[in-house]
Amino acid sequence: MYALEVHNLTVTYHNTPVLWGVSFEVPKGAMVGILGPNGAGKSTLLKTILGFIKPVSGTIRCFGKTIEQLKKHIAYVPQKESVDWTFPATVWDVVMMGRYGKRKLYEPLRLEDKKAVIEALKKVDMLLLKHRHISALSGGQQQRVFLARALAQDPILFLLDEPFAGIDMASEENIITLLKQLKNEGKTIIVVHHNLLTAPQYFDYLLFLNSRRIAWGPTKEVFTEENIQKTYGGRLPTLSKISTILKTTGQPPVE
Amino acid sequence: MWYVYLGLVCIAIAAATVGTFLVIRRQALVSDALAHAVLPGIVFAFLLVGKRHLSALFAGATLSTFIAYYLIDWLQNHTPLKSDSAIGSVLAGAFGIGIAALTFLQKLPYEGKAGLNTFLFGNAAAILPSDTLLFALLACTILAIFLLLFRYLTLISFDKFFAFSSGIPVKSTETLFLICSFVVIVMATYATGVVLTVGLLIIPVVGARLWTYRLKPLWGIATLIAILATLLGTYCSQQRPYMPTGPWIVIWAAFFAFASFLFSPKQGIIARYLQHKRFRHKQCKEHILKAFYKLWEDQQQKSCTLETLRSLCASPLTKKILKQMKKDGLIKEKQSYWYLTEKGWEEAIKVVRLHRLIELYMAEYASLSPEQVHSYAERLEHLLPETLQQELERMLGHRKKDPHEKPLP
Repeated sequence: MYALEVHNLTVTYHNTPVLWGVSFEVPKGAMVGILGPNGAGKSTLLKTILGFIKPVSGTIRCFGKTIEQLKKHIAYVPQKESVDWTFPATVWDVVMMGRYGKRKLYEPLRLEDKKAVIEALKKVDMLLLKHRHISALSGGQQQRVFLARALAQDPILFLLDEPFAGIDMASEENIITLLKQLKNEGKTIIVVHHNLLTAPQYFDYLLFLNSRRIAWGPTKEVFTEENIQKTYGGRLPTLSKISTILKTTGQPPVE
Repeated sequence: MWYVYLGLVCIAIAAATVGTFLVIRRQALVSDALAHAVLPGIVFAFLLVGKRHLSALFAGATLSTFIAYYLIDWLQNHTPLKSDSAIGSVLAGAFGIGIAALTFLQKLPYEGKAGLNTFLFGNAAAILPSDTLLFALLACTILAIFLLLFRYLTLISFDKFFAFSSGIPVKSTETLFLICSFVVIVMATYATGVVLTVGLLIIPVVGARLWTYRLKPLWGIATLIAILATLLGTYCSQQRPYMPTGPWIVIWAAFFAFASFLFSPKQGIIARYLQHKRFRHKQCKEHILKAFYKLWEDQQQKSCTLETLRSLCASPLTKKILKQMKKDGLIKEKQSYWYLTEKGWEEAIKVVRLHRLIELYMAEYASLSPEQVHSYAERLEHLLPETLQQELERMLGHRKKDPHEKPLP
């Protein structure tokens, strides 16, 4: 059984196709990097997997179940630019948010939740800063707080959106060590990544994406000059013309 | 009159609760447009029912805010208008219709129509016992809903995608929040009038934000400010007949926000001024200590006159700080000559040592030339906390000389 199975996924945004028939299967315990230029649909793919965006066609299965059934066991780490860091909350408050989904409305948070938060903060080496306001953190520390929040969820599948963008070397090392450790514990990790230099060291599977699937497979097989050229060498001119026509006529690309 | 004040406390609690979340969700301006949209709702409900019937007016006003909200939403999604223009158009449009309908109504032979004017700038004295009962029920309901939804609302306000991904019902929570906002905005117009409602919703939260950076205390302090502002505002407005309450409530809320701006212990301007002053004093003291050390190092002098000291440390604070140092036992004066005491020397050595350690560090680790390092050290020596001083000591404490070949004391 695969940890994640994406089959023939097509997604549009305001009638413009963003993903065309993307398919791939992630085995359990894999560390996957999704590579592609800006606007290639990497973040859209993650948001669709999570069910935030409804695809026009295609199926997504996680350990043989739907995402809806497994939601509590999937952790999503959004891009750190997607939130307002002046929000009135401390490091502790943000990491505790990882436990909110586990408790019913009327249930108070328990000692168990506090322990999970402390454990998560220790892993990202942020326990000493737990009372800090989140705006008083560096970019790398903010990213580590987000990762700690995901750890506090105690998930089996991690989806990370550009966790290494705009952070310092020390934080990057801390995060990658931690992700490798999680992988060794049998967790499946999917990362949207932008740095081609580090990609082959970090991931054992790669998905090259540019609106469509360019290549998918073990890093050793697919990390080739040709695939990089195809992914980053520009869009297919005819495909983007078709997208524009679909947008202006308001037609979905598949029935 | 007790029921007026009780009604006001209910309004204040509800307004601060919804206001806190409106501010952190960056919807302050939307709430202003919705408050203005209350006016046409009330006038049309009055025309329909024919008298000043509480629940009819309330229902009409709530429906009106509802329509305004979805109109703003529609404009943003289906036209090229950005949110500020969409909000502005709806605000002005709704208010225009409201005023036109209100003036039209004045010509009609209805009873109680004069009372509707109070919805412009608010008149708390017009609150009746039946109003208070309704407000108390609504305030309790809203408080209960927010206490129950607190975690969900917090998470959705901070990070909607994450909230969704962890299985929290985003849509229904947001809808419930919206309905509560509609009801509270209508309630608040009774106290402040439609024009100034936004003041009661937002200003207490702005003041509270200066005292805390956590959500629960923010909510609590905002509630306190809102209650005080409504009570004091209403009291002031009743000192003269026909004075509307809205402006007075907003004045008091703004007063508390301004006071927070001045006196808040971390972000207030007074606290910052004092901090700055302490720093300048420390800087001046350390300059004097260094001057003594240099005199000794360069000319083997252990004492000097006030004039020499002044020429060495050109700060206008010098005389004041010397007095303070004398009191602290760092310095002594004998026949208009100034000496450092034993304790003073200890401190002077510490300051010079730190200055030279910083120079060493900047020269070696930041690859600056010996000419450049002095000005950096000159600033940093007053700022470095104890922990960083110890770190420098550990890294470079074994060295004998600074980049200018002067010995480390």
